[in-house]
Amino acid sequence: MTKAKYEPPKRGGLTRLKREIPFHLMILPALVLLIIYSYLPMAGIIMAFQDFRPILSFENSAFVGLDNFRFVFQLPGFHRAFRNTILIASLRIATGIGFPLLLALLINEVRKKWFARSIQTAVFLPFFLSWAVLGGIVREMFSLTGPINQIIEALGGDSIMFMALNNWFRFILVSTHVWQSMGINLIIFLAAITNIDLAQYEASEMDGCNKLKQVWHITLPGMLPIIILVSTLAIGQLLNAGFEQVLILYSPVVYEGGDILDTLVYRMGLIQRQFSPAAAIGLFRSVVSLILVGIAYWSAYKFSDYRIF
Amino acid sequence: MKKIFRILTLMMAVIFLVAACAPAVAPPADSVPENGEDVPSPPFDGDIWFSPMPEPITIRVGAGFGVPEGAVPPGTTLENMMLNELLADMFNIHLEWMWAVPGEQADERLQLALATGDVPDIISLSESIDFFELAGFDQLRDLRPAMDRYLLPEIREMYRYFNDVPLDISTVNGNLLAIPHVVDSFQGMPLIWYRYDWMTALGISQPTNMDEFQAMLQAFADNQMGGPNTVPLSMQGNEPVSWAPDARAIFQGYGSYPETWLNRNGELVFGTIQPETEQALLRLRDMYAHGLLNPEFATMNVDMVVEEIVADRVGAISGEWWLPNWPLNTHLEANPDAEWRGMPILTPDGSPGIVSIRRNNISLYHVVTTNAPPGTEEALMRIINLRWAIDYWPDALERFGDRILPESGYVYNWGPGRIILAHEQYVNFVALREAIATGNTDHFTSSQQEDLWLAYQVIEQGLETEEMSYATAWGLHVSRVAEGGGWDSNMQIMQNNQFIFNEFYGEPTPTEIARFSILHDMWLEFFASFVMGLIPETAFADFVNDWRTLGGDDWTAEVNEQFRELN
Repeated sequence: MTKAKYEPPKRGGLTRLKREIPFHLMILPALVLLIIYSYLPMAGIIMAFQDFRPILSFENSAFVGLDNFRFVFQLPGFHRAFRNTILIASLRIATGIGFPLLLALLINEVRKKWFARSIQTAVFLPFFLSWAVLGGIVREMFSLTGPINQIIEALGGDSIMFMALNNWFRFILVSTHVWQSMGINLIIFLAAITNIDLAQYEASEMDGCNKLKQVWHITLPGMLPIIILVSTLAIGQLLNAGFEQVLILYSPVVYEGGDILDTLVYRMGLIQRQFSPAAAIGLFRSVVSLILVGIAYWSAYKFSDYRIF
Repeated sequence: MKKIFRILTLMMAVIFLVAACAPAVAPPADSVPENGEDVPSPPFDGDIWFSPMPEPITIRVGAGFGVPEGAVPPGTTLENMMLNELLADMFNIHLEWMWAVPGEQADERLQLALATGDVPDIISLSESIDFFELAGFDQLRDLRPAMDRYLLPEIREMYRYFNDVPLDISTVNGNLLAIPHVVDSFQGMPLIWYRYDWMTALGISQPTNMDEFQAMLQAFADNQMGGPNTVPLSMQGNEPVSWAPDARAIFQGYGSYPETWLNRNGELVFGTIQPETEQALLRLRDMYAHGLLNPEFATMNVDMVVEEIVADRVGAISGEWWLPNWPLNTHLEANPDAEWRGMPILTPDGSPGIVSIRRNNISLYHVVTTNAPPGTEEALMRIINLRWAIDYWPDALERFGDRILPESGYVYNWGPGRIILAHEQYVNFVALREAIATGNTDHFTSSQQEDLWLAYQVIEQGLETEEMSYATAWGLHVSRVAEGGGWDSNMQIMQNNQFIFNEFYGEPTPTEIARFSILHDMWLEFFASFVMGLIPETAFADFVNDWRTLGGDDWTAEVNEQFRELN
């Protein structure tokens, strides 16, 4: 072998690697967890193509091709659950971004810092509570004799069975989800706002911009990358309508408006032990989510030249 | 039909026979308690039920555990609990714990073990589907020879009380594949519990038919007996046929038995879709329309019903004999003036109601798997015998020593091979009635009977004691002993043959496995929407049609095929 004329700067690559080793080590635990909890279980996907019975194990369970998918797609409850999932999840995504964004803009304009901070903390608080706890609070709040209905009655309206009527039930799911999860996006958006160069505001004031115009021409464009990031990641959640929340709040009378794919799978898979059809629904959901995230990422890159990864 | 009649007659004969004799659970009289020894030698020297295994045997087990009951030392686990030591010392049986997981994970862990083929030698299966599946794949050993030779006669006697049906169910292709842990089916019958004090305050007499019952509920509502948010009839609407306060009393009053397989002239039919169900549903719909149910009853689970009761808002519930012992006693603590009473279910025309009970009353199948070491069947019998004796023999402490106390780390509800005296309520009832009639308590065989006696004295004789609060005593007494109480009502239903069986107990059929959750969801949704008046009054026919076409007819055909094979 003849010696190459040009040698790439090996030394540079090595030093860089050396320098970065601590960072790679820091990623390692997360990577291991990801492999153990997210990648290894993927082997279980095989269940979706089998008539899986625990006693026969993976090796001996019969392969049935796409039978499970056919079975699932023609289940009477499937289309309803699919429709509800998309509907509830889209509303969750829209409100889950819209409300915190609005609140972030408002809080940003608050002069008194202690006030802004206490609002921020109060909004963040329910994020730390599980639905097992929140469920009881929500049920109590929205029950027929609960505070919300008392207010409605005091204002001269008729009380509403929020938890037992299908249209209202969806509203409850979406609004309580916003209430519970708003804090995390709020913090992300507030952080994005602080990154915007203050000089731009000063300049715009000189040019005679009012507050509203500042928001429109400076704050929002400045936050755009973060908004796109949050939205793109959220689209991966389009088939995730909040299993825990729905499971705790729903009852058979609101299956029509509140039954989602996850709860359907839960009732079939865990209560009725139909592992294979449940795995088929799960796989279907994951594949659709993957495609959606791919599209969202691609369009973010294509249209706003923005790269997340 | 003839066979059913024969079974019923036989059952009644057994009941009266047992009733005539002393309670079935008594140790043989020739045994002499041993005193003054720290480590008692095996009791019943030379007695086969407690004889040690000829060779040491290691048995692999795995189980879930709940909160240990009693004053168990902290740090007690399945692996180090006293049962392990007792079995090793007394019988040469060494338990090897493959896993010990919290109770709620027990099933998942078991499924994993089945999937990997690494199964324990002895398993306690809680689901019929698992039992029949393992049996179908020839994974279980025949326990008949070991049972006939080694199982305590009094446990056999208990099965005989149930006409050996539990053993028949556990027998597949002529082999006895499980020692069943049974519960008394007669414990699962609905009664009506109602606020007697509200009724008398309104000057109403006890209702004798469904119309009068509804009129009483209407009076509760109109007079706001429980405040502005009175709930005359409370039930968990998210599961109208269950174990808790539900809608069974109304259904069964109409001769409707949802989610039950009924024998109609030798053919099994599903109770949910029978015409009687529509009648009961119309009644519930009418009650709802008149504000006699909680407007949101369809979203309510057990906890919410209990909350309502304790908040003094509820006038009546449909539920089983034990309700006074929970949650009605809790209500009594909150409101000592409340007076709950029970009555049999009511029918539209005032004739006696017929309730349904399950024929399959097995709650655990104790099985031995094929790969277990030889002799495991005999070892299982020893474990069962020992645990039974510890639980039920009044002189267990003298026989087995301090090691059976919770303080020593013996957890009575942990580990393999536990069988309960299923007809305990019956035995206690008979014993207590005798004590009340004669004033003599010498025949008592358990501390529970002593407790019930104390409760009787507190309630009926005005005894004041620090050992038992009035509400606790009331709960025990009214559920288990009192005239017109829970168990007394059950006894009358049994003796008057006012019950029918849920007939099907075979292996889940293919359609059932694939379709049950769909059909069940459909029923729950239909029930709630229909009673709330969200769908038209004529919707029942459509529901039946959907139920049948979406798998119900196939399921029915399969069930009937199996039923004919089994009988």
